[in-house]
Amino acid sequence: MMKKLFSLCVALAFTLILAACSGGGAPAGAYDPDATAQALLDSGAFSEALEALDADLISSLYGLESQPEAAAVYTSTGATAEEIAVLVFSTQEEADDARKALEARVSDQKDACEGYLPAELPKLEQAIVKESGSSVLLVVANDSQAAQAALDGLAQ
Amino acid sequence: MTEQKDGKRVLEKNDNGTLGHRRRLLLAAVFLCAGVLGALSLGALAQQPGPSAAGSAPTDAVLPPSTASAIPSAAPEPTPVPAPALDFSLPAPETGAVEDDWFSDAVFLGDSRSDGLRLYSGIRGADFLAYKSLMVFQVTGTGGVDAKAIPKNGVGDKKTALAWLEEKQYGKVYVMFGINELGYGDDQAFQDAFALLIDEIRVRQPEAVIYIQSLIPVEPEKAHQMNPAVWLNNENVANYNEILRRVCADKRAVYVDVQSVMADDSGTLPAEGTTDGIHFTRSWYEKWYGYLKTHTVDPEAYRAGQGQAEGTEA
Repeated sequence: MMKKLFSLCVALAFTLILAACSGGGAPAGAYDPDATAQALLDSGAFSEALEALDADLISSLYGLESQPEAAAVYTSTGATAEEIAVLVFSTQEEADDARKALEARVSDQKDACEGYLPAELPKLEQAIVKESGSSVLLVVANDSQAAQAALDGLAQ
Repeated sequence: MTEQKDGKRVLEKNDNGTLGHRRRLLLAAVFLCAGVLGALSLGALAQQPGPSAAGSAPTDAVLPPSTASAIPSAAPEPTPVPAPALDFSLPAPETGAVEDDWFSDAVFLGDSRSDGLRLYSGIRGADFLAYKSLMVFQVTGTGGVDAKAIPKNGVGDKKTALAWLEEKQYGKVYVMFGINELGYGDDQAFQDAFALLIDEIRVRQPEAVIYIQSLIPVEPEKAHQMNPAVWLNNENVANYNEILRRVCADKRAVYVDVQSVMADDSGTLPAEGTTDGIHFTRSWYEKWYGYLKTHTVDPEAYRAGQGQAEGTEA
């Protein structure tokens, strides 16, 4: 009886530890901002070193109505349209709105680059915009296949 | 009297000695009170500007009594010293660094470089009418180019920069254009557009100090990898900066020599400060912002300069 109780306690402790370690604070099914951004940065999919954007500027950059709970955003400082945004929200509705904002961002960037940075248009055409759980993701990469492979690697 | 009476009653109530002893005590108390009162009176007199002090001043001796008594309150109020008029032929001088919130009533007009300043310099609170590839001609709608609608702060509704300036009053308007105009090939059109822009800003922002920032040089090697155009060179940048200085002197706007901190001694943007030869790294955007914080002008001196120039013209 004592042995069974001890085993049960050990199993419960391991379960709690695993639950605490997984996701890095991201809700179930959501992208982990830091891990996802780092995997993308390490993938070689970008033609230049992107700069991390300060957290307090993220909502204004994308015109978000809701502040993300966690986020990682990296952009070009002007040379290209390359960009990474991983945003986690508290509700699905907020994530839905953010996805629309990211799609609008891609459209605005196409307008801005047309006639000015034509080499960026194919990158924007292949922009990756995804929603997973209460998180959304935008990737504009020089090599979108490499970026997608990095994302697939995270999912495995 | 009442106190004496009360004092006596207290003495009678508590005294166990002779009547003579009580009288001596009473006399001692009276002398003590008199002494204290006398000392207080002398102290008060000593603190007043007495006749002896006035008499020591030769000028006071000839003043009529009424005038002499008015001296302490009749000290002439300091005449406000007008701020010296700003010399618009010179760049904004170095000053102590302003606080970050100094820019909370500022607006920046510019191209993608200014948009980078918004995102990566650390500046907060200012509005930005800055957009990729925006040219001064697209603000004024001159030079054969239509005015371009742009979003404020990079997102949302789009209007021309001048239309945005009609919606809100600012204390400072910062401008930087030129890198996209280098290949325009018409110096006079560039000069005219900037002069017109200053006029248009002044109409919409009559209280604002207008700062025209110098054009920042390029790093030729990286820049030509991105854009091999022959006009993209620092000789043309220097030429445009000469034009901007002349326009500032003529139109009485503040020339801010930002390029002096962004370029090296040869007038070239260092390779470590740029990603593509044209746009900057975070640390160089921070350098730019730091320069703006230490090169501001006194609005009163700015206005005095406007008035002085107007007076000269008249």
